Amino acid sequence: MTSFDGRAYTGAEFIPPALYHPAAPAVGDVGLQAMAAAYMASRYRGQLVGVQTYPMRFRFAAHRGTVSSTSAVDIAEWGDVHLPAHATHVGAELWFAHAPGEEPAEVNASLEVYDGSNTDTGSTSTFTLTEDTAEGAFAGLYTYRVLVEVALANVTAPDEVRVRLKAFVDEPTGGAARDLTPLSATCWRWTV
Amino acid sequence: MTAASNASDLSAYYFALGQGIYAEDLAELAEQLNYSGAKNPVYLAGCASGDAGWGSSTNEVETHAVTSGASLVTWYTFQVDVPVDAQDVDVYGRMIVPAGDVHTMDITVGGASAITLTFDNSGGGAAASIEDTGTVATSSTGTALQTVTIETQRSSGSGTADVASWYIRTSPIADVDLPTPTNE
Repeated sequence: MTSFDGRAYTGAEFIPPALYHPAAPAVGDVGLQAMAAAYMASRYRGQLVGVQTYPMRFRFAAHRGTVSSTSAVDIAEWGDVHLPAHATHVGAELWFAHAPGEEPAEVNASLEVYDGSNTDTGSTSTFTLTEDTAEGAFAGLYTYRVLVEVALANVTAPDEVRVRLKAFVDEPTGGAARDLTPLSATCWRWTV
Repeated sequence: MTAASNASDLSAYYFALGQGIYAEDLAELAEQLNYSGAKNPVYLAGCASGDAGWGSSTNEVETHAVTSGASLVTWYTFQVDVPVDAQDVDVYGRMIVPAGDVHTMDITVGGASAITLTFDNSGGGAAASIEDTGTVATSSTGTALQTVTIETQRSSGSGTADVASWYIRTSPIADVDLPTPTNE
């Protein structure tokens, strides 16, 4: 872990104008603070890990999801992902949809980061699908967004890792299994 | 002259206003800054296509890039901005290859020769999702705005493979290779 003193500097501190006033006797201070601010900006700059889209046309009768199982199904995977030494989190956003009247009861998503020997996993709490939790409706489908993140603990950065996004559906009680249609997944890494 | 990169620890007391500051402190902080920037590679471009099998034969709902010929077919051409301080560009590809086939993906960045990624399922008994990676130096690709071309072909076998995904990113910079800023 790269840090000045083992503490996390999460803010770019305000530099008092008096320090960089001409002839101000504080050249060292302003230089140090400017570089500290630059360091903060570099260290806390998140980066995109990858994007997965699921190209398709919306057809009510023909939409076919990959998520209909009660066991986790791979939704997206990114390999050879570089985690810098100061990375602390990896997260993903999964958009998916289903047709009205075809609600699966709940959806669960998880994200794995694997470095070849160690794994860190993050999971969503169960996400109940209702019209109220839908973020929009489009072409006859309700659309939802689920966020899942992993706080890196076992994976030792810097390293090249594999990031895998999974999801599964809990079927409604007494109901038939329904498909979810994934629309897109976006994955990021960042530092806190 | 190569700029120095260092992941050392600095005391928080250095940041107190009025604290005595020495040239060594500034140099050490500059090294910290170099380290955090050099080790944080940038995602330049990427794309994900789909596997076959979506929809039905009479109502195809999926479009995806496939490779089934023995000559290179261009799938993507675009430009990326290769950072001037990057030393290498890493590429990653994944294809879903039928059993018995070998397919390749050529990724050409700027003025460099194509990087050939190979997806070998010649010994497989079933279709498999195979990935490969490659690296090219920015001394070959050039920096700033560069054209990228991605082509695929089947090099052996008789089946059709799906282009699942690919991406391009800069590579973390080794400490000894950290370049001097261009304005020095």
